[in-house]
Amino acid sequence: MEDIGVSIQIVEERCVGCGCCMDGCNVGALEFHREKEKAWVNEAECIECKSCVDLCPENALIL
Amino acid sequence: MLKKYDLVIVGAGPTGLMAAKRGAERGLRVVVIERKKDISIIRRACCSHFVMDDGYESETLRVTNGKIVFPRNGFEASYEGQTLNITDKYFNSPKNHTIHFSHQNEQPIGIKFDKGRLLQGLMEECEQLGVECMMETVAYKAQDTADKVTVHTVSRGTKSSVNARKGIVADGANAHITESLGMNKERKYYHTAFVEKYIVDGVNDYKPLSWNFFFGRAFRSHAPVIIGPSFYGNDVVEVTIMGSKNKLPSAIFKEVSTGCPLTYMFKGSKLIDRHACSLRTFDSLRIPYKGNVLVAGDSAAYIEVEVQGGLMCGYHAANAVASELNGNNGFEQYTIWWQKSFEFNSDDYLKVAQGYALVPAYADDELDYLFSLAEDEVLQGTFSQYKTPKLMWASILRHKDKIAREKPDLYKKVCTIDKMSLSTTF
Repeated sequence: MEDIGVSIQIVEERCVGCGCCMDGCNVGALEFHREKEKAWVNEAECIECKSCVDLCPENALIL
Repeated sequence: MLKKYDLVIVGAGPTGLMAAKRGAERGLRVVVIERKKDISIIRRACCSHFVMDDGYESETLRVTNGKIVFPRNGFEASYEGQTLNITDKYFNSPKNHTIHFSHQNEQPIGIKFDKGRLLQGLMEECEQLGVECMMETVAYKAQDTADKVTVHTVSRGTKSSVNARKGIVADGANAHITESLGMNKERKYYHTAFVEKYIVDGVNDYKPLSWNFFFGRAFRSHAPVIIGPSFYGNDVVEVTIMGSKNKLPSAIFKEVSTGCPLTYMFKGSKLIDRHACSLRTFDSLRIPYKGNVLVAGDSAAYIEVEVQGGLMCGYHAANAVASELNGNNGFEQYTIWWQKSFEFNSDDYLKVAQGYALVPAYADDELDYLFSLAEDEVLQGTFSQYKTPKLMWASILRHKDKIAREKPDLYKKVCTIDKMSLSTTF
């Protein structure tokens, strides 16, 4: 897949690690970062549907 | 061909782990898929108390040394962590008129416990019983076919799938896997609430071991601001704020702590942690199964089943799977139990629960007036979202002639409480 260089960004200072964004992702592009206990987005899988953005209670995900 | 697993469970919360434990005890080969690395660290704003109402969710819990006993459901869960007995609940209006709920004999309304510790204990029992736990693995989709359930997973960017003869979906209130199975289509969706729990050290004027609900526009939120105890320390409280995408809990908390009637409580206090969650709210799933999949706990609930409900759902769900695998109709039996045990499955629940929808339906001075009418008695200690508004309105409406006489416009509004909708609350 061509890398178009745009994807969801996670503002780490806002993320509390609740995991709710993962409840919106239908393609398996979001996981917990191993060390940080915060959300991590796999840019190669993200289809930019913004479902995760709508579910983040902290506005920590931005497109 | 024999499949490796009898049962795949999505989610290692109270429902999923209790189902895994019970499933293994029944001789099933069980795998649990969990996205977190360490389930004992709770970062989500969620239920962490047992509700001690008689008959709540068709159970009357006993919390004793080292275990939680479910006498009606006929099982126990071990728990070795701390507990705090919460004996009083107060509903407060903007000008501090207060409705008090409590038992006469200091019997607790709720018992706060350490959820991380409970889950860790359950996980250890599961591992001893041979349950396979796939940690740091996100389940993002499930499919049900004639003879198996397939759960699609991703772990550190690598996709895979897990097959089993039966599946239990226990991935929580947002019901993501339920959605992927097409099972949310028949449910009414209300809204997505955002909840944030602020852990605050050194607040002023907090009554120990109490839950305090503050209703009114003065508190900057349509939902009540809730202040309760915490395990972080004696002088530390949990402030629960509910908001939405339009007004985030963080914005509400800022206003609550700097410019509302509660501001004095926060003078000199220190914010030490915060937990958050989003909560997609649907009607409950009345028939919580399809094909080889049973949806259990919060994933099938209207809002939530609380931790005790989760444990009960997990226990019964695993028994249902064992029954199905023996050629019996376990899922139907589970459905009968589910429908009769949880108050939100009754048709009149939503109407009564709307007693919580006080804001914006009532102006602040109206809440002051209504709450003042119920101040002269202590109402029975209860946590139930069904029983609480019933008791509250029964107490207020002892004075309905007075309301009709003194506040005719308010009286008209009070007469339409059964037509209010929770959807305007958030």
